[in-house]
Amino acid sequence: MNNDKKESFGKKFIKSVQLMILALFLAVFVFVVMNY
Amino acid sequence: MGNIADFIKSIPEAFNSPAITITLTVLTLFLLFYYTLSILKRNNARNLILIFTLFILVTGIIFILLGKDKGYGWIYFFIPLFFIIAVIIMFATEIKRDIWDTSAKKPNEIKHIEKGTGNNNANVCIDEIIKALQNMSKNDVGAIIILASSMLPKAILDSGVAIDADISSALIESIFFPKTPLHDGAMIINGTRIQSAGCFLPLSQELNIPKDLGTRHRAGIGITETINVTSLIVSEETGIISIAQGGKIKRYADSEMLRQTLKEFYWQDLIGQNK
Repeated sequence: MNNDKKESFGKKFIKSVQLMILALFLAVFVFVVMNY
Repeated sequence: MGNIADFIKSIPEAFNSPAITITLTVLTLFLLFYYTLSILKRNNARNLILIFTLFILVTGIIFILLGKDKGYGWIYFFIPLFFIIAVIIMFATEIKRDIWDTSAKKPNEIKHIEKGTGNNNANVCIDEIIKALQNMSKNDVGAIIILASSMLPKAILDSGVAIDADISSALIESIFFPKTPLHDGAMIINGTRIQSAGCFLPLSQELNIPKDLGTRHRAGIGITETINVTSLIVSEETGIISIAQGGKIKRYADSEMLRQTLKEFYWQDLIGQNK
């Protein structure tokens, strides 16, 4: 049970980091295009 | 004093530096995108995340190719903005729920359960609510009870009749007794008090709700979609007790499930203090 919980927390964390990276990439991309 | 005045004067100057302007713009864009993407992810709209990303990349590349050296780059900002506004309109209900959740009160801020007497009060309330629900379930009396903290919209509270009474199974059963004026609306329980009864709730527009669940169940689910409350519903046709939380409904609730839900509502740490 505990391992399951840890794994699901880890997965959740990785997924939220993925989302952050995507958001950061899009933010930088939009900024670059705006100032091109 | 002179230092503070200098500091205040230096604020507008700081914004002239490109590093700060760039950081703030990128940070704002990042927060906007992150919130939009997290709404899409939480609502299982993963396809839209892909469309959103591709849309921004493709339009960005087209903009670079067409608008070279013309200085119209700032217009590009409206493209992601258009998409973000579309997401806000599409997921207005979910965003509303986020806002209500953020403003939800913390356990130690609940004033209506006093710490000294909280143990007894909460236990008595739990027993009385369960007793009322089970009696109504046995007699096929329809009922809907909302367990709310103090953040229910005023419009909902005003739609019913203010009661402000102690929780008792007799009172709950009397209110939901068929053909009485208040039996058709929802009862709002706020802490250890019955706040009001006969309240009108927003109906859920969800299409996946089984067809055998009537308006009472739809209302019970509807309120939990936008506000962080729990609904306890007794079916008039079958006497089945259901619990709705966060837009999801659990049917066939037994006394253990009800006790667990009510304990969560009255905060376990308060109840377990004297154990």
